[in-house]
Amino acid sequence: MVQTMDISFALNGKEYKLSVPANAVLLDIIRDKMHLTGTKEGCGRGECGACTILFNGRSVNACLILAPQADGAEIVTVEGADVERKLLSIQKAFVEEGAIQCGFCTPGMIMSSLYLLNKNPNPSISEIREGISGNLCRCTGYVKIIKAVERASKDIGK
Amino acid sequence: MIMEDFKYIGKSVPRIDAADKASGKIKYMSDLNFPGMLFGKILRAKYPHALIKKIDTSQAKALPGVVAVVTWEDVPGLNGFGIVTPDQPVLCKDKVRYIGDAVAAIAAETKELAEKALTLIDVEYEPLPVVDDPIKAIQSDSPKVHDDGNIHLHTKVVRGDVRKAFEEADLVIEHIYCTGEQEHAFLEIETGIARIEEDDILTIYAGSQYPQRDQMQLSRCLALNPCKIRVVSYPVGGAFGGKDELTIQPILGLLVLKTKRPVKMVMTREESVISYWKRHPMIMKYKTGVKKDGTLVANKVIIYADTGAYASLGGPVVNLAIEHACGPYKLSNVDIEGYCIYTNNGVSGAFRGFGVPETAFAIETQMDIIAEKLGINPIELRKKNALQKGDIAPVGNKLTTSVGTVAVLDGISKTKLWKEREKYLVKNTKKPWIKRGFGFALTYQGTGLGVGLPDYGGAILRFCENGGFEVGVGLVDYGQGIGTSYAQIAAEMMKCPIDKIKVVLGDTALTADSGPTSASRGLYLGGKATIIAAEKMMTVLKEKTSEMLKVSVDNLDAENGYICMKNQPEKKISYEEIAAQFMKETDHLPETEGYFLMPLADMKVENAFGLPHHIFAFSAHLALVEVNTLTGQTKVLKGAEVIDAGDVINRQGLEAQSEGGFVMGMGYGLFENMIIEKGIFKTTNFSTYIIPSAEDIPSDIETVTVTDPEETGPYRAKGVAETVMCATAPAITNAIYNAVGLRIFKLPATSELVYTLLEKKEEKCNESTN
Amino acid sequence: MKALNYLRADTIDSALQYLDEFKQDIRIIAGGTDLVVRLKQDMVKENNILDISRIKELNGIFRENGTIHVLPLTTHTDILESEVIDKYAFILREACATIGSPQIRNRGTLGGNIVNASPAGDSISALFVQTAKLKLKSINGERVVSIEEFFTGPGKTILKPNELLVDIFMPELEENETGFFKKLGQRDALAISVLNVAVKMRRRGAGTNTFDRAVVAFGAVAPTVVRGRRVENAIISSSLDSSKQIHYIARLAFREVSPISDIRASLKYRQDMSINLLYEGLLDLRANDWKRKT
Repeated sequence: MVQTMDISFALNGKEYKLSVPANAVLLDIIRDKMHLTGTKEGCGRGECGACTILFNGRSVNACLILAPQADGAEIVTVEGADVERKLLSIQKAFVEEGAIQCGFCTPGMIMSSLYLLNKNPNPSISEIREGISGNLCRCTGYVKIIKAVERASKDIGK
Repeated sequence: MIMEDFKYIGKSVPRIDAADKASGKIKYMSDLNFPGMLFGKILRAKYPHALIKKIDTSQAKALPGVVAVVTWEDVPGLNGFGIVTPDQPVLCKDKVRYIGDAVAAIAAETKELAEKALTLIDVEYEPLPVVDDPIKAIQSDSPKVHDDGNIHLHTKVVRGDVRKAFEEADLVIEHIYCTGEQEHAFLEIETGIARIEEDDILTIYAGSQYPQRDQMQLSRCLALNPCKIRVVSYPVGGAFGGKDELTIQPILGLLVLKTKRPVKMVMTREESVISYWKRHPMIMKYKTGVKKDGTLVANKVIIYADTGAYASLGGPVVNLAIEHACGPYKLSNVDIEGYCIYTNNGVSGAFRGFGVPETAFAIETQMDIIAEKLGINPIELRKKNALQKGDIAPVGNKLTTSVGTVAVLDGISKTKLWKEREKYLVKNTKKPWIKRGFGFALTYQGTGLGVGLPDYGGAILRFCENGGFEVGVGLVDYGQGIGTSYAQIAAEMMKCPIDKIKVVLGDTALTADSGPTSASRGLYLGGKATIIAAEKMMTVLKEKTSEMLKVSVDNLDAENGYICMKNQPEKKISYEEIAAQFMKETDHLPETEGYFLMPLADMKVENAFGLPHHIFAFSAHLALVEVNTLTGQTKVLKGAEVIDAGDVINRQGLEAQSEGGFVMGMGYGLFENMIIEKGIFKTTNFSTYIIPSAEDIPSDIETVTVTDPEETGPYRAKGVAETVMCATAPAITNAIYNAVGLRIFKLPATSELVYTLLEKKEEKCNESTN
Repeated sequence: MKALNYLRADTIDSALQYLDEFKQDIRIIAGGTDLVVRLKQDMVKENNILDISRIKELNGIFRENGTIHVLPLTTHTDILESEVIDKYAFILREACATIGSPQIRNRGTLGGNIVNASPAGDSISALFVQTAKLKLKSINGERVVSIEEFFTGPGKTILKPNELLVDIFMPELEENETGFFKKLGQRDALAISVLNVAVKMRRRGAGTNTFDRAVVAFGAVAPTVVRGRRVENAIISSSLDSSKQIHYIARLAFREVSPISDIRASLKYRQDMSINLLYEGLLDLRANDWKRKT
């Protein structure tokens, strides 16, 4: 028998109560139960960053969090522009800089960028590289992504 | 020819799907869920090479919640697939040939149940000796992977008289080059969902590079009329060749047919790595003869390519490697042969570059060695031998299309990296163990499928009620950006705002077959087909307007969403009004189709299927590296690419390809080392198979374009998706030589390899001074 | 993933109760960055998972009488953001900066890194040279052990099934103490150590190249992180005046390590790198007048 747990969390500013299997990971809850498929799975081991979300204000790999651990958490996904207004600027910068190709790493990349800019509104290039170093991208070679984060930091600062 | 003043062509138009990708709204195939869906799982082989003695699924079938268990017995059609030779079983019957071979599959109510059921399938094997060395595999006493032997293909192309030419050569350089097995490492793993939709149509949503071919292959395996199969493949989270062949689709289809319910299959990264396509590891023996003045006179090459357990596109990969084995240089005496060899080392197939990154590494190292030995500037050496328009290529075809070799070589001097390289190459006095070097390499890549294969682009243009147009092309945008280019082309052709263009890709029900999304052909062929469809559509619109305005078609022009009178531009009818008129008259809107046949070379190379190609894109790759001689680590500090893409359709898209290609080539050159021991994969995730991260890339990757317009191309453009990654690795290894005097003959040049070679070199030095 | 019984403790006492109650069949989860991967691979035999991530008593960094306490639930990011660590335990800071990725550092804890006992655990080498001690507690009492005696093999420690790691503490680095953590990975981010080395040395005085105390540790070159005592003795007993002398000392590393070959590197390469990484680190430090990397 799979144990289920009643948990509640705030997802993109809205409170939810739900019952989750004890052995589920948060990523699957977000994608399958909450139907927010912007958060992607690329490796399931915390090595690619496609599932990056904000969890109590910090960027984490949603594939490495057991669902019951999310009880009481504040979660923001790439769909969470209502609570994290900076997301809009970052998303716009990614579009305009051409930082998106296949787009599969994009949501995770954007969430890592959001975390970085929340923490450090004016990051240097090397801080940007470090900030997105947990997100693998196979299409872009990262150049335009780095430029997009730089541009977003300027746009937000305006 | 003067470039016209275009509104969209040549501009950095942002990707049309970028906003939906950035917001997370767009649904990839792996994001789809259908009510009542089951979860599919595949039982993989237990051994890399074994006979199957018995498959017992009774226990798995008895598990509550398991809806179907399928084995080879359940495959209704041909139990085989493969683009060229259908030698790979959908589900193995009596033998497994690699560790990812599929033996059985399950559809169950939950993922967990499906996983559990896998463990209940009892397969009895008789392990066979593992064939893991391609050179040993072609000897007559080797165990056989397939009954017909381990040579899937042997191609030999001979021109001129190499023996005589070597005798006349002043210098002969001979080396053996080895390249690694590269994993595509697209971020979206092979995943999909399928169900039976309206009119009993089996609809498969899964990442693919050629939905129409998938449809045909699936039809053959599933014994289903192709019109009863629909394949949808957009958007796709990366492919790079790895989704050209079928992956999960036949089993997915089988499970749906069996259960009559939707089935979703999600691979894990590990399963993806062991089960699906990789770049062929190659061993290449090169012998190149050259005159004192630098004129290349002969090249003898033998290529051994490990295609793993099944053919897929292994044959064409070897043939393309042969065609490009001499680089873009004039050579009239060549003897090039290639073996495509079966082993139990996973499966190799299509991968960006398709045999060219491998041979580019070899020939560009040869060229660097020759330049040094002869004391000739390496750019001048390449220029001296550069193929130009009108020349005969090494395999014998006359080059009559655009040839950018010299333009690209000349372009090197336009890069900032070249101009400032002396400044960058200063000695590190504080850390003398860290040494810098500069290197470059040249490459080219044929566009399209080559001689002998039907090669065409197709596009449908649908007029919409809002006065806009829908472009339907069977090709797939898995990141390269062709959808945006088609939108640019359609908007330019139809003289309307780009936001009035909708692009539909990769859907057998809605798009015209346009061949595979591979071989750098997407922009070229899909673009040409779109132009043709648009020309027809323009005629249709003008004809309707001429009826409406009662003027001759010749007096009409199009501008900004209107058809107007040439001499009275204020007299005009909007596309929306034209659409309304069509609806009023016929209750439907016109659609046009465009088809374009790829121009082919003037000859074919005997016994070398697909050879030669007719149109080529060219690029030079530059790298500034820093080698830590204490650890062997190589850091690429700066990179640049000089690209001949013809006229550029989308500057931003081209740069993105160039930067991404450079970094993928850098991974190939330095890190990416798929380790397979006795047929078992050892590097199945991103902590062991190392692809570059944002912290590994150079501080700068410049893209410089030089234009040799391709008159046959859409707006004189040609495709560059592959050439942009092909010569990065040799640029880096040539730079390593420049830094520390070490020739690299094996990829990837990992820290350990560089360190070990440096150490050996030092030993040798010590020996000679003692 | 197999079915789990998820338990949560909000206090140390409650955690200890659970540990005692479930004996061998309980596994602790904190950040989960390692455990969840193992769970997915069915590499965890225990059926009960005890979530300690909310125990406030186990989270925090503070100074007390010349000692730095880093409580086990402190994340790598917390360490990187701590001024106290930056000032008094910077070798640990340097090590934590190289771990995984921002996401992993945001979630992974120092306690987890220790208890997982990977020979390549980056923080462990740093804790070795910062001569950290660990406090282990069970319902029967508590004990303090040095970090060096904690490990018995890859993934193996002396922690008893009913014990919980409750404190990690180490002396503050002194004004004249210097050192570094250096890691060799297969790429510049998201990398697991092929090898790492940590060094702490106390300088005899400004202007000198001599040291009266040295602690050296190597990671990923033996079943556990190992001390390099021969290297330490050589540092203390000589003057690090020239690169030649430094190389001579570094070469002793060869005697300290017993690496294996695996998919990341060969035995030989690891052996040589234990020398060269130490050598390079010492040279870098000397080039900076023996002052820490900034």
